[in-house]
Amino acid sequence: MTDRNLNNHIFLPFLFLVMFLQITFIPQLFSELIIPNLLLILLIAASFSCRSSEMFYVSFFCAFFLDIFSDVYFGPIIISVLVAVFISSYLAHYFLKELFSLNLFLISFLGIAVYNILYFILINLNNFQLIFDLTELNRLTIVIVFEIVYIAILIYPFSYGVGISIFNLGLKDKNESQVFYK
Amino acid sequence: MKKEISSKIASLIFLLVVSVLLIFLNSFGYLDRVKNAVFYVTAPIQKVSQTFSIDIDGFFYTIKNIDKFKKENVVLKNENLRLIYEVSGLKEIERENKVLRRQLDFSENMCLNGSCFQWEIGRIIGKDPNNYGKYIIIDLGAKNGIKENQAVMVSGGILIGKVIEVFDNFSKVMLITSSDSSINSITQTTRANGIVKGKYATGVKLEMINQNEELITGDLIITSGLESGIPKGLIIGKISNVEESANEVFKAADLDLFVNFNRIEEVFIIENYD
Repeated sequence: MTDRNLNNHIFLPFLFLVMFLQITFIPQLFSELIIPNLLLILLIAASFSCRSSEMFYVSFFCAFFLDIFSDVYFGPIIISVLVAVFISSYLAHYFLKELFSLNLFLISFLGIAVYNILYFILINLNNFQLIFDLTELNRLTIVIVFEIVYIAILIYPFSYGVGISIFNLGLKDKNESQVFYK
Repeated sequence: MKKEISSKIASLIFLLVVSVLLIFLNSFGYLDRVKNAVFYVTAPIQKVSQTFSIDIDGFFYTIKNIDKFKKENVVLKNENLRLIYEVSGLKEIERENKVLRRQLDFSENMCLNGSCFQWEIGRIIGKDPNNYGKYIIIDLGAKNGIKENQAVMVSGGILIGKVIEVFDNFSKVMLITSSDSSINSITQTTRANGIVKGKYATGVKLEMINQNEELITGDLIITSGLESGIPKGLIIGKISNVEESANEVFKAADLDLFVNFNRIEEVFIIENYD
């Protein structure tokens, strides 16, 4: 595996812009739709190619702000994001050999599913007992299904199209952009 | 690679510990200042984004429902034309009716909620000079059978006041917007009993409603019939704003009135009602 020297100065503004949109415009603009967690998808995408633990700190920072604006109590988003980003990043180390592959899609989806399930558990945990009704579980299933569809149809090609060009610009050695992972 | 993984695990553990610490600090309120600062800084951006989002959301909503709006528009236009035609016809009939009644000096029986009474048409000939809107003077008096405490209304059964002083040929009517006026009334839907009091000619307020009674915005307020001279069921106004507080003994509500008191020309005085 090559040394992934990502220039965060290029990538971070893009990430923070999405975070800003996620806090302000997106929930209000599409109030009638189930929208994917675009920021999380980007964080997971970035965690594949970011140097060691940098992405954890960025994820922590973004999740902290999302949690402040969240309508439930403080905490579940930070923990869920950190765990999801770690799992995706860990799996990418062992199973991601090529940038465009089925594994990439599967790992992205797994990371997002981990986030959603963990978040669902944390917000419904009361005195160490999981209390929820069936409609919430249905909603969780629908959200995950929607996110698969979004990743497959829209977000996946888009974010990686944008992501690759940004990563390539950020790489110190131009040759490295040709082979991201060996 | 092993080094990289262990570095990631260490970072994850460190950040998870920090997160748990933050959750604890938050539960004791130590993060409130941070939250306030974040909200303070982001508030102007949030405001702009919210306005912008509402506009865009409205735009998409319009596009989404454009077909529905088109159909509604056609229906409403037709309805509007029909109503204009009807109103125009009714206005003519009303005018003709008034003229005939005056010519015949005719008082008709009117029935409201089971009680029947007669009424007289009076014309406003004077208003409160202090501009406090406390009372009006009408061209009917004792000679026309007018007595104190008789209800005064306009067309549509809308109460505007009651007679407080009677002279031979004219009477003084205290308006419900006067600060001295208090009318016993009930809400039409929930039947909550209260007192409608004037607010220095600026409007009226429903007061003295028990805390266990329900007040609904938009509900009509009508007279209760408990007051001498004022029959049950006359319309006073509708609730525009409910004021309730756990610290207060009674609930209250602001009312919207259906008439502009400055534009009234003729009134109906209810007679022979006990």
